[in-house]
Amino acid sequence: MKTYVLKVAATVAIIMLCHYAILLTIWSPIAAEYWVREFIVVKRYEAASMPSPKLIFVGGSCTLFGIDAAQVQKSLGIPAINFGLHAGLRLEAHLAEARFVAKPGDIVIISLEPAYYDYYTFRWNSWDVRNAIAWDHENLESLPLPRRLQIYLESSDILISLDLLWSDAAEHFFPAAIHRRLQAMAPEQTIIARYLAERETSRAFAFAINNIDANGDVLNTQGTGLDFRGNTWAPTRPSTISPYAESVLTPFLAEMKSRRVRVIFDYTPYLVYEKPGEEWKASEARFQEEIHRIGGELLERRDAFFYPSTLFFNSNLHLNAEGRELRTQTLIEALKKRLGLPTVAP
Amino acid sequence: MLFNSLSFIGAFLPVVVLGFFLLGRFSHHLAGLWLCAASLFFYGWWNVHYVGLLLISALFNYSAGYLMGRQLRPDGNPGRTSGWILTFAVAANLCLLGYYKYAQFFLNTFNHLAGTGWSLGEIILPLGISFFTFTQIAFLVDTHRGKAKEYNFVHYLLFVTYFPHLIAGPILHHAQMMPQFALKQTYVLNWKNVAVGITYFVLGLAKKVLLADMFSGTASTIFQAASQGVGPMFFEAWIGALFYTLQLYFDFSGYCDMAIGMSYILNVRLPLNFNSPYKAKNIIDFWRRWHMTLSAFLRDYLYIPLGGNRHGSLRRYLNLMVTMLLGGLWHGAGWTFVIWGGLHGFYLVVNHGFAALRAKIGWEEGRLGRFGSFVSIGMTFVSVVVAWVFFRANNFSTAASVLRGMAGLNGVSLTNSPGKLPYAWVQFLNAHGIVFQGFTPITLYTELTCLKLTLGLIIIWLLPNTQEWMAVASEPQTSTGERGIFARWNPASAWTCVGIGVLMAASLLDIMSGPPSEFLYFQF
Repeated sequence: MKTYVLKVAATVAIIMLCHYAILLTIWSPIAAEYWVREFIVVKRYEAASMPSPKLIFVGGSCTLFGIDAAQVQKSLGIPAINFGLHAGLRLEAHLAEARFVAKPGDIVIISLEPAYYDYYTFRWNSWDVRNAIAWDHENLESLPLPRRLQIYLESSDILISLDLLWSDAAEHFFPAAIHRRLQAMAPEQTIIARYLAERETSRAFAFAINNIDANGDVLNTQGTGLDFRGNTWAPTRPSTISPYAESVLTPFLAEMKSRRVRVIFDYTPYLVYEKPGEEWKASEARFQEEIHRIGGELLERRDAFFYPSTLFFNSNLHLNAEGRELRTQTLIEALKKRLGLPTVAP
Repeated sequence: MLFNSLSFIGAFLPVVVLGFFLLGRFSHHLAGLWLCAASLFFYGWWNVHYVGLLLISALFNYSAGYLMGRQLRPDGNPGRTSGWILTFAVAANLCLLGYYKYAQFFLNTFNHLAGTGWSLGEIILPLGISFFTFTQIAFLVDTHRGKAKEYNFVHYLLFVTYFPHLIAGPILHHAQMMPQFALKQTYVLNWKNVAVGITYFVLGLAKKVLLADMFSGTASTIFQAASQGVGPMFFEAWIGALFYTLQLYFDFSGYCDMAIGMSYILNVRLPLNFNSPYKAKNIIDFWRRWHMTLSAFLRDYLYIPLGGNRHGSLRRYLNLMVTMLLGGLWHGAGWTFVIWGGLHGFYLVVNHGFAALRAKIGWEEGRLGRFGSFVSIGMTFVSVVVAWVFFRANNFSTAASVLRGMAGLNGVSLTNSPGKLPYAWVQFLNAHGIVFQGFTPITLYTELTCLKLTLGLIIIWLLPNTQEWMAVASEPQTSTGERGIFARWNPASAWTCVGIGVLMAASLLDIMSGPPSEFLYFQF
């Protein structure tokens, strides 16, 4: 029986060692959300071609689906890029994109999902690890080995190493099985060429570069009477800014200020099934104070975004086309007031 | 500290086991004291303030037991004042439980009915209070009946606080536990028990982190959506209910296996608490398989004292209903739990009524063969699933919404697209509540959802349970007496070693990749 215990222990040790060895030594395109990489490449390309001053909308998929940058650009006469990506990305990743595309005179409008303000940890989760391995491998590799090891120790499940082995084999022996992943990992120029050739050709909704326009807006999100019926977050969120989120946001705000880039915070839409109580007002006041405390400014009031389910697409993060139009209109009005911009008649 | 946390598996358990056997070489008393201290540390890790409450409760019940034991007559009958002491002590226990667990609930109900706004302030429910209170009530009654006697406070404290059972059971009897701590061999490292214990522990851990936690997300999403006013449609309501059914199964079964496993390592046998309840052929059978020690407690200390089946059918059914209603309330201070208990009481009444009718007309059990068994298991399972909806829902309207969905009254969503179906037909179907938004629009992931569900159902119905698989190693106390239909645990086989090693490694990696989730029964 002692042998049995030792054999089990040895098996555990060998599997763990193999797992970490695979993570540290093999790279292959494992299953992940590759569209995020493609969107980043394309949006960076479009943003680079826009003159400053320009409006840069930063956030997760609430921004991606919730703001029509083309409509903003048309109404305000200022170039606008929708840099909405994925709400699973770390806060640092969104801010890194803002840093990358913002030029002096630009205005960055950050609409973060409430969870970002609750952000409390330096720790990655397995979604972060999976996506970093999949399409942001260079950045991951650039981290010092102890930090990478720490990330893997804290946040990698066994499926990732199994996937690395399988995808490695697939890449060498039957690449057709992971064609989409390999296509997304092509050099940036190749992705941009594909985007230019296929731009706006999609006739149905997809997380694909042929389904975004030159302003980075996602297309084909018509409501179709879906009347989204999933979970939502309470209008009392966000209320405070966690110390970790503050430690990420504060230096970002200082850096943007030094680069003469204005940063404005805004809310994301709230799916409300029933009329909310009054509790959100206290949260609103508290959050406004918090934003001012870290040196930011807030654009609108959250009750401007209490929307019924008929305005959502396939998640409480995603407005449909009708919802987006409504949300963008209120945004345009708020921007006109806040920035005192001259408007261009449509 | 949770059984499925790295701090427990990597630090607490090894240190406790090591300390226990090292100290056991010199003094059994010292080793017992070590285990007591470790158990109190384990409890205090959650909230150090309630260690005092646990100690006071143990001291009070030990004193009451001591007084009753001293009065025991040589013929085993209780002494003159023993009954009074018992009544007082049980009442005190129930008052403690009532204050921490039910005061707020009854006050809220009163406020609701009377339109008042009284408050008791915030009362934090001490972890495991239902379990350690019931364990001690059983001890008091056993002492009164002359079945238990304990004059050593450290032993008594160990019996109550023994960490593998402290938070979520099983509910133990003094006579089951203390003789084991009196044995010399309990304090000597036994590699066979370590091997069996590790295997139980790993299987339990895997059930919790790889299966129960996998089912929890979808169940929570659907029940949360229902509580926000979204009426789940037919498939998603069933998926929500079934996922919760599977989550609870693997969560509780995993906990029980882990408790049995770590006790095995310490040379202590815990009673079987879970025995493939979803394979039950009727509700009576279900309650012989689900949370077996609680069922036995309710039977021995509530149902039988109420009169059991000794006063005719009508009284028997009434006793069953009362027992199950209180059993429901034991699980949680909420009317949904009462309804859940009442529903099971009703099921039991119907089941007993049917059994009586069958006996009357001379209809033999099992006469329909395999088909009959299949139907019985299916009907029992569906009844249990329906009742779990009340158990899971945080209020009536949520439960009603999910049940309406299960009945198809919130509409039915089919595939993502109507395909080539003529538009007029689509319109007609939409008008009758049939839409095309995917089978589970709330959770989105249909294929994966089906895959998970199939996997869960295969495990609960087709695979042997842990006790059956471990039948070779188990002793009568923890064995179901049944034999598994597939493989057996074979420590000499390389495949067994690798299989258990893989499960352990996968579970550990999963634990390391995020904060541990609580066991569902911790809240009771």
